[in-house]
Amino acid sequence: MTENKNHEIHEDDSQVETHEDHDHDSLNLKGTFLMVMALGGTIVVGWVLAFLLFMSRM
Amino acid sequence: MHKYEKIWLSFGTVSLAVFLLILLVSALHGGHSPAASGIETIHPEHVLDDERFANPGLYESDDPDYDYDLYFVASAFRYDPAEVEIPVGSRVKVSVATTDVIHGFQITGTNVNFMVEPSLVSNYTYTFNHPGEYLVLCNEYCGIGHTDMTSIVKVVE
Repeated sequence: MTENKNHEIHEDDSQVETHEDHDHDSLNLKGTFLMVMALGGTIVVGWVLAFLLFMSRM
Repeated sequence: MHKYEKIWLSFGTVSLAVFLLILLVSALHGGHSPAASGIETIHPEHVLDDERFANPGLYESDDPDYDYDLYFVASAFRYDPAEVEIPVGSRVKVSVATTDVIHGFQITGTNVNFMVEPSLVSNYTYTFNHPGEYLVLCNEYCGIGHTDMTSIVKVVE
């Protein structure tokens, strides 16, 4: 019942979200990319340091 | 999908695969055995009836894989022995049992660091190559005297 009602509203709505609105290719993700890689890099470096500490105490 | 999204998703996926591989290797190699395989059990109320733990300390070993056996009894809130001397360069199998609750056993500055659980004999084999005085401490909160629970390992020439 509710689903049909929503569907009708969407059909009349001219501002229906389309695939184009979610197209990431046109977005500038440079800042996001840098932060994701910086966080990943920090985790990897932290792991390597812990491993080197372990090996130095063998 | 954005080019950057492909890069960080690949990075994340590869990291996950590497992590799982490391987990698998570290769980199985180097004396780390799966649970219930090669584990020695001991009744916590009868730890002191066992001759190894009745007079804990450093003993020469018959096993060719290591030079000495080192036995420790952990109890709230002390280790027995309170001090032990180990000749430098010797390979030692450290075995620890608890008479009461869960304790920790860490020889600071080394990789000897494990939990001591009631009914289990915990052990780790380590070569003491550097002379010095090492603090032994409990890393599992065991009660009001937890912070005073220490021992000393002296690695001597």
